[in-house]
Amino acid sequence: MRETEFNVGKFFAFIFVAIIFLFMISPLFEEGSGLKLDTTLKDIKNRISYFHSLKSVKESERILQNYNDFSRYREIVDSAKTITLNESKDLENGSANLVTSIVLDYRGFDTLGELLVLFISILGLTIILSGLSFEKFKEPSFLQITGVKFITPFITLVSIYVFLHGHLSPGGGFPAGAMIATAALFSLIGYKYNYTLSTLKIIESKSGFLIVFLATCGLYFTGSFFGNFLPTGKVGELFSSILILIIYSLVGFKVGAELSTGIKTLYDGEKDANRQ
Amino acid sequence: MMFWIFIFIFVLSIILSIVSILVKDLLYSVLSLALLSLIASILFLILNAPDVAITEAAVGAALTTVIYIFGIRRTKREDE
Repeated sequence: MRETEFNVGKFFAFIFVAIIFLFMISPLFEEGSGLKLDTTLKDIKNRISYFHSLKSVKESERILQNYNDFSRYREIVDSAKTITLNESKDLENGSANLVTSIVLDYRGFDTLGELLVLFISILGLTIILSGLSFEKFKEPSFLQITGVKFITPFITLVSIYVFLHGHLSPGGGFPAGAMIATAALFSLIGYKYNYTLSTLKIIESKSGFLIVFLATCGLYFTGSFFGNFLPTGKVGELFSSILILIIYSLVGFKVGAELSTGIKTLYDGEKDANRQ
Repeated sequence: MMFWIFIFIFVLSIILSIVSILVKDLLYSVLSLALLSLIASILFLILNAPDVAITEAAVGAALTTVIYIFGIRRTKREDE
């Protein structure tokens, strides 16, 4: 009976989705008209972000402050050194992946804020769920246990690869933490003896403390928060920018521990004896 | 060729999001959302953003699905 009624909410939802669809496909039919990028900005040498790709932000900032105008910008661009893989040494920031060098070095404070947001959301989840008590899940079947035991080591291996190579290839701490949490869920299904919430609490708090400690060390040694004070070797090697390697590993551990805490709380649904 | 791949991805994502709203069984709704984020990660990969694609596949397709399924298991499966 209720299905045949005219539903106003559904009607407006359809109109909303149709408008979004039109917006999505409209750029495909345009030919040159409409909003366009400034033609001088098409060449990346005319943008400030050119220095980010050359990893010489501090030097260019110093030069521009000395001349105090942007009319000499072109000369500074032309005099900047180019970077070649496996040859350039001792740069300002040694990571070969440009996204990582921006996310974790030039905009490191932003990543700290993201970590804080994730921490607060998991805190809310566990606070709400810790007062309730559910019945336990059913025992997993033989097939589930065998399959999960086969696939869990591979997921863990891939996640370790992703956060260790965060400065060389796409990836990094956040997706690695999500993969660790997936492996933690599988280990909850498949293995009899498992991690406890107190272990996760220790990992999470210590790695979070170390991230802020390293960032403050950068403030002490170089004068900027998240400043790079450890040596940066050749671009493209595994131990090329050691600070980014350490911080991304810590981010991976922290995110993995937080998400595993949420999943463990959702899975068990009982009050843990170790938690006060 | 690229044009039609984009059109296919857009149409599929719109269809999946409409299905996730309209279907009565909440488990199917969650599964269609997971498929939607998988398709979004393919789109990011085509648009040369592998960082975002990896994050979208790990968070959107795996973790949020698991959390939604736990929520459905704790409450009830059918929409009214």
